[in-house]
Amino acid sequence: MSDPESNSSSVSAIQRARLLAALEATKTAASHASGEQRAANSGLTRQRSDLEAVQRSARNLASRNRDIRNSLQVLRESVDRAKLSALNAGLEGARLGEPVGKALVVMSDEQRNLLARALDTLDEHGALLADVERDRERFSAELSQLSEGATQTFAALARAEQQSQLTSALLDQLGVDCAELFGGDPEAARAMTEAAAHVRTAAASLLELTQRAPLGANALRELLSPLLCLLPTGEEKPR
Amino acid sequence: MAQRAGLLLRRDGELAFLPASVARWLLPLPRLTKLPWDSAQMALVGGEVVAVLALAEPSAELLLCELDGQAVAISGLSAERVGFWPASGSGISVDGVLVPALDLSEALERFRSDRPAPQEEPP
Repeated sequence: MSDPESNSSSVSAIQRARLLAALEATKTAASHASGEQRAANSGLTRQRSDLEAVQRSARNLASRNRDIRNSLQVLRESVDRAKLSALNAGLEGARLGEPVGKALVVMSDEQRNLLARALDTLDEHGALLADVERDRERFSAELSQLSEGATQTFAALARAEQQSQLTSALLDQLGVDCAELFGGDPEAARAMTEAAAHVRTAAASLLELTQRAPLGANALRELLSPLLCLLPTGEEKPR
Repeated sequence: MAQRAGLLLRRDGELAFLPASVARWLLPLPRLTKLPWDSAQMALVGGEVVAVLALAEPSAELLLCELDGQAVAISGLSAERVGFWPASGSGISVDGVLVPALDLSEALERFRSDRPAPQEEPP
């Protein structure tokens, strides 16, 4: 271990104090950074949880879409059957001939028209559902990318936190080593740094005053010169 | 002008007319069974086996007809409307457009005359 007295000879007290104060400030900053990282980590964990909930909702949406598609298929088959039934009723009416079967044919034609409109609407619903399904798939893909990004950020943040803890530990060790080397303690160093700062301020004020002093003397001379003229000089002899 | 009652249908995109005396019943396309070593197809309709004449690519429906007292099913047609239309030649006139009658007898004759494909001799 080095002798504090021999180190004191090569490093001035002010320099030691500055070094120790800078070390303390760095430790404080590292501690703050570590706290911010923990807060970010916690926020990211919440975001990941929310993201997983949204992904579950997207999967549920896919399942519901499948159910709706199946229902639409059943509806379509039913309407197709109903259309055939309407045509069959019309065929019966056509076999009966006019005028007996005419009403049946007209009724079946009306039914067929209505069912054709229902089929068109079902087709439109099917197309809309396909659009929704495409949007959902795109949404799911984007969610997966977001999730992947969040995982990578989470890992990077964990690494940064480890590095931050290591930095804090190294700074602690550095503080101990500096204290042993220079024989000072951090509190005294901080006080010395503050005192040095006060001294610097006072010195600057004095310097400014010194620079202003000639101006004040000149002004005083101008003010006093008429009075000085009235005073007897040493050269004049009393009568 | 005389009126004809029947079924207006579409075959390969073209409209055709089938009289109500021939067209009996429309039903969803059932399972069609192909006979071995033959191009003919059969279907079970209402508990009876009927021959199926394929006039075009199968659609979603099958038309059961009565030809010369025999039940015959026809696939590849799409029924459009049922009604009474003015007679025009062998067909009808729909909104001033001539729609020919569907000649099933020719299709039935072709079906009857189709010979089974020769069996391949095993090597």
